[in-house]
Amino acid sequence: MRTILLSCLTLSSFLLTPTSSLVAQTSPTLPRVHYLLDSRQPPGMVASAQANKNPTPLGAFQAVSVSGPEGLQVALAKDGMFLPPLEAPVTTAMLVGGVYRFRVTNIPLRPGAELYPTLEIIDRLYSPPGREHRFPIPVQLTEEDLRLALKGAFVTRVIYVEDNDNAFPFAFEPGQQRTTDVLPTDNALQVADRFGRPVAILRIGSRVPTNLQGDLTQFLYGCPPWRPLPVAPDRDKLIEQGLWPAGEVAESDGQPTEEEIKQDYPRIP
Amino acid sequence: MTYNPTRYGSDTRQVALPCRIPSLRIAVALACCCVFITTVGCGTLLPYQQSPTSVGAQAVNSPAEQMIAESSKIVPTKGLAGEAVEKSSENGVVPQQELLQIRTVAYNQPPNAAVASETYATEDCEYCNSSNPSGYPLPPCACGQSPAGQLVPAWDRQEYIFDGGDQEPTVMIRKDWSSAGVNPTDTVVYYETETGKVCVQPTNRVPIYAPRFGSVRQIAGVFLAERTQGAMRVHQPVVAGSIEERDVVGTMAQPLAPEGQQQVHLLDAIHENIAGSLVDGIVPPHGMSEARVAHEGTEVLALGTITDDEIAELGEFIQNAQTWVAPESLSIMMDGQVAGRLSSAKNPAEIYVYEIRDKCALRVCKTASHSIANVGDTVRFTLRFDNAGAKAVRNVVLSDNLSARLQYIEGSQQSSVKSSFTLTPNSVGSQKLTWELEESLKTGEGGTISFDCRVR
Repeated sequence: MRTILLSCLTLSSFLLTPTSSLVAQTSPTLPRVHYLLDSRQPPGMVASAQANKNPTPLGAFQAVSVSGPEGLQVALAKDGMFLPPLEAPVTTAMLVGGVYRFRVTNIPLRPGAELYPTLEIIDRLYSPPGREHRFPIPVQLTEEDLRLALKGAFVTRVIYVEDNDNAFPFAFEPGQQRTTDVLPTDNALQVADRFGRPVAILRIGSRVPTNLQGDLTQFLYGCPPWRPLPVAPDRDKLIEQGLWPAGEVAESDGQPTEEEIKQDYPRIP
Repeated sequence: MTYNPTRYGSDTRQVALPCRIPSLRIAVALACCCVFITTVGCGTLLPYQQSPTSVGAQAVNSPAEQMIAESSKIVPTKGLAGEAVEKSSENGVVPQQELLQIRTVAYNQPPNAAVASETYATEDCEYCNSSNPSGYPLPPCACGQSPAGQLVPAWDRQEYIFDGGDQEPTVMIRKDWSSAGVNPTDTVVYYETETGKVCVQPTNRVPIYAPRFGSVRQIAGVFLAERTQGAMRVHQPVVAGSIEERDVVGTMAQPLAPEGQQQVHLLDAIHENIAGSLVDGIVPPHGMSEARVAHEGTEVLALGTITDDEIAELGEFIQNAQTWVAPESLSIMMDGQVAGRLSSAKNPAEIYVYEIRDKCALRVCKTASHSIANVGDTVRFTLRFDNAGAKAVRNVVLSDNLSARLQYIEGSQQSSVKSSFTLTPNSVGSQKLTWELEESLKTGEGGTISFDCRVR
């Protein structure tokens, strides 16, 4: 009897050991997780590590919209050289895993100054087919970031898709973005990972190429390809042009009503 | 402002806009998943389902993708993007007209159809024919290359706002008719049947594609490091002021052993007492003479069941009943008039026995006006409920706990039935909407409730 009992205990211990270790590994209460990736790593490191971990989004184009203060001009690079600048916002489709450097000019109150930020696309969105242009990654070059970069600071922004299950309960206006400032010693990528899923890293420094007419392949990080995208129509402009109903909410008088079904009711394109 | 495609000559094709009206109808049809209590529980709609096509027939990675791939057995019809690309790539070159056709077809498909989401990949062969000096992995294309490298469309639940259903922990109803467990994004209706049975029914789960972005900013640089390079202060280790001494345990309480043991005697034998079990429904007639109950031996009266061999006998009993009402029996005189006697010569051909159980049979359906939305858009939710049961229900309460991404627009709720509306803040910074119907719902009755929310 004792032998049978001991054998049962031994068997149960063998069965329980992997389960308990699994629970310990997946426990969300583990205090310290060593993040191999850091937003302070050189451009391209995070994207390549993401590609090794999950190659599914590799090779996909992701819509990106670069916006900034009024009058800001952005020039993308192609075939090893910068193209003529265009007024922001500039919407393009960029390759996931690529590092894009673009030139920013016509900065407010700083005539003649120019910056060369980089944008690292580390993940993509899974928008409904045909609606990719409506949900670009918003890359906002704020006036403060540009001013700090011109003073010599190095501004890093990790842009993430917020987890809607744990969304911040605050109403944002269209185009407004929640910004969380972290210390220079913190890992911005780790903080963004807590809020959602990081999709891009914007780095704004004051580095300027020594010779714009020379070989810029290294400076442009290989000059990855990009694609033009149709611009999603602005609803406010459509309303102003009379192409879209104002959509004011009808006040209810508290009495039961029957709503008339409208045929061919327009929807947001 | 965007790059003009014709300015740099990189892409001269125009992008086909999606077909709007069919997409709207299909999206509304997808979002409307009626839930029947008697047959189906809480139905959850995936944002859109994909099936492995010839274009995107790569290995499915995550369990969620496997589930989607297995659950959606959508066979792509002729003319879909996948088949067209395969057919065209036989010759190695895709004609321009065919590419545009592929693109247009792909855009016109509903979100749940078998369409490769990488529509950029099939429209241009510029990078396939180039030497790719950048070294970056380029997207697959149809320029004579195998489409096996194309991607399997996937989805991320973080990009969706869900509303409806009943997430864990499930909803429970207290005795004071208040609810517990109505979590954010839950939408349930609870009510009471005629016999007092409390029923809780969740609605279907409506997904809305509405990703919201945020950013984490980190500012570093030389001018900021200047402040930290100089030693502002020195952290000096503080010597412990007092030492806490711990005494050695002098005494120890020893657990006492039991002085005696009370023995419990086991049963020597087990007396079995198995009585015959009664059959439910058997109600034998008591206290009635055989002369009055001449047909007590039939099962229809004793057990409530009708057998085929007793139908003729039952008809005879009905004839007997008519015979028993004879003129020589007692007559009733009322105001000088003789009570009329109603008799029928018709015999019952078939007898149906209906058993109406007390089921929870309120059908609830939740729909949303938009399947995709940006921040600031207004989405209208509509709740349709019907009493699909055979009995009336009362104390019907509909409760919708909104997500943190949705904000109820004041004064936008409308109800087709008389109800009292309550708006209370919830735990995620949004609101919880509650409608209490003032009247009970009879069989076949129903109503509609709609309200507007702003995506924030």
